[in-house]
Amino acid sequence: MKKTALPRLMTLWLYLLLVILALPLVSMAVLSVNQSRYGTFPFHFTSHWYTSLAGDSVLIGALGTSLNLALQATIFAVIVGTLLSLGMARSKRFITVPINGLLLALLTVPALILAAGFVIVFTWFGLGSSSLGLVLGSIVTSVPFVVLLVSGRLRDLSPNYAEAAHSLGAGPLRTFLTITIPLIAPSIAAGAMLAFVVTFNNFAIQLFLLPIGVSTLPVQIYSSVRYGVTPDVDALATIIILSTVVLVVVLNWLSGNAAKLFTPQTKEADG
Amino acid sequence: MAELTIHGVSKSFNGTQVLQPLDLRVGDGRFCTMLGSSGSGKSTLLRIIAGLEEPDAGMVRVGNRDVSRISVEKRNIGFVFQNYALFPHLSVLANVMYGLRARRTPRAVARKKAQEMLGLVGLGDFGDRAPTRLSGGQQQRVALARALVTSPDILLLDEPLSALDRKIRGEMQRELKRIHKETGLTTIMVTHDQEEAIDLGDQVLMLDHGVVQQDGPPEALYWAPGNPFVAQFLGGQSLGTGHVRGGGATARVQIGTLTLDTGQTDLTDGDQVEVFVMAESVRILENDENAGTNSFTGILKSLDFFGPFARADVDAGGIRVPVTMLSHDAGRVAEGDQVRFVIAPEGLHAFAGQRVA
Repeated sequence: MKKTALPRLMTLWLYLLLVILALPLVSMAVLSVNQSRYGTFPFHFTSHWYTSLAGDSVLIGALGTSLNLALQATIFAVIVGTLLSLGMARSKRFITVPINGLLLALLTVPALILAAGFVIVFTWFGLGSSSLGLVLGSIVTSVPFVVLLVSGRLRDLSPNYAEAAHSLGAGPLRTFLTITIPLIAPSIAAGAMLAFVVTFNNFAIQLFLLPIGVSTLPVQIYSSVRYGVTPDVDALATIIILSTVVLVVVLNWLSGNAAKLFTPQTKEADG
Repeated sequence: MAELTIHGVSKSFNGTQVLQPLDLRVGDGRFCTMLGSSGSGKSTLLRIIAGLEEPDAGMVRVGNRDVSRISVEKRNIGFVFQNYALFPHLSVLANVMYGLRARRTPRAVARKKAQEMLGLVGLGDFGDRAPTRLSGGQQQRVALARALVTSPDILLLDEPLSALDRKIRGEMQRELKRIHKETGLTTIMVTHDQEEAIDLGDQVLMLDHGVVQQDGPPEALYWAPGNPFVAQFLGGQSLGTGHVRGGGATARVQIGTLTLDTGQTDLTDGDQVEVFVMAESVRILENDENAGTNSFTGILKSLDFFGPFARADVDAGGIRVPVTMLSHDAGRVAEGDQVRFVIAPEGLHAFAGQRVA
């Protein structure tokens, strides 16, 4: 079969695009195992930057803070987001439309502006630059992602499952715990992972709301790269990129394949 | 096991009346089929009986218990959904055990009972499987087992066979008959298939636009449809509008050149009536066969072969008469032939002054 020029050109364009997209990430990974402190070539392999990273107590401390923050925010975001989705699934439009609008606004408003808003509001309540304020701000920014995933699943879920459970004698609580929750579990897990990643990376919120003397990883990295990107930051970035990729792959599996596992095949009707 | 009584039940959704106030009584151990096309309100009525939908007015009584204000989970019913609604995250056995566990039956007892019930529907070895890995017919059996294992007072089936292909459907139809016979459960089934309704039901409730069209044994509906809608739904085809000549047992209906004896005694002289014919009660006569009443001559316009039987259209003086015959008899005739045919009087139904729905 003869290939025309256009599809070939498009294939080329696609590869070019992928290279451009991957270039910053790949170059960081390469420089993180290069001997030169100033990112110069020729390339000499070393794992020095990774070992020095392990000894950097400030960075490790910031990583701990970040993980801790992301974990706390995720737990609350999942609970709040799941309950919100369940509530919205049985609410009338005049309730769901404003809530959806608000959630959409949280997703689209620049984090910087949102963070500035938080600072103002939290100061009123005496929460300015406190750990509580930071966790609250992180929860608010990650709840929309949980709702997005869980609501989608609930919309697709046939009401017949819950009705079948009721018809078999199961009350509302039993039905909720043994039928509804297991059926939406993959989406809750996917929402949790997304919330975790979002909170972990939310630089603007953290920069504005961090208590004095505490640093999260993104903020710490920001302060070290102000004087140039060093290979140990490259090493850290590589680790973060790799773990994010793993998370995203798992997330994709959960929201795609795993969701399919729980979706019964509809039998084609007799014609 | 119990008798079901419905009194004055009605329902509307967003201002649209889907069920006009209706009464229904299904005797203990009877099999009632609710027949109608989509939008007839039959599924809504079933859901009201189950308690999945609340009626605007009226009363639902199971045995001598008024369940109108009782929630679904306390009604002790068995419900089989159109798409079966087997819990996809539970094994087949766990699905069947669910109702027993909800009634706080100890796990070991529940497991034993569920296993027995799976055996009864012929799926004894399938307990460990995931329901999604079963065929449509097998899922159907699991859904039945799940609904039956809790010994419900009544069994409700919402178009249980419509998702199955034709072959398995016949098999499941016999299975449903067998289970009904063995359990003696009062059963109510919703369907849009008249053959299914007539075969399975010993009482057929015909619904259209939320109004009961006829309620009775299947034979009564077939041989004496109460109105044009029922006649049409059960296969009747209109011959057109005619006039009644004479009255009582000697009444005849004149349509064009045809003078028809409908066997009805309730016709009034001079009335304008619409006449329906069941194509299977029209027979093409052999060449030398003696002609009695209701025999006419016409031109065979078309002949369609359907395997075991064939359908033909005969033009008798401008009136199109449908004929269904066994394929065995179809060889005798060809399109364009002049044929003589006879219509059995019990296959003709004349309705005065009623609009066809």
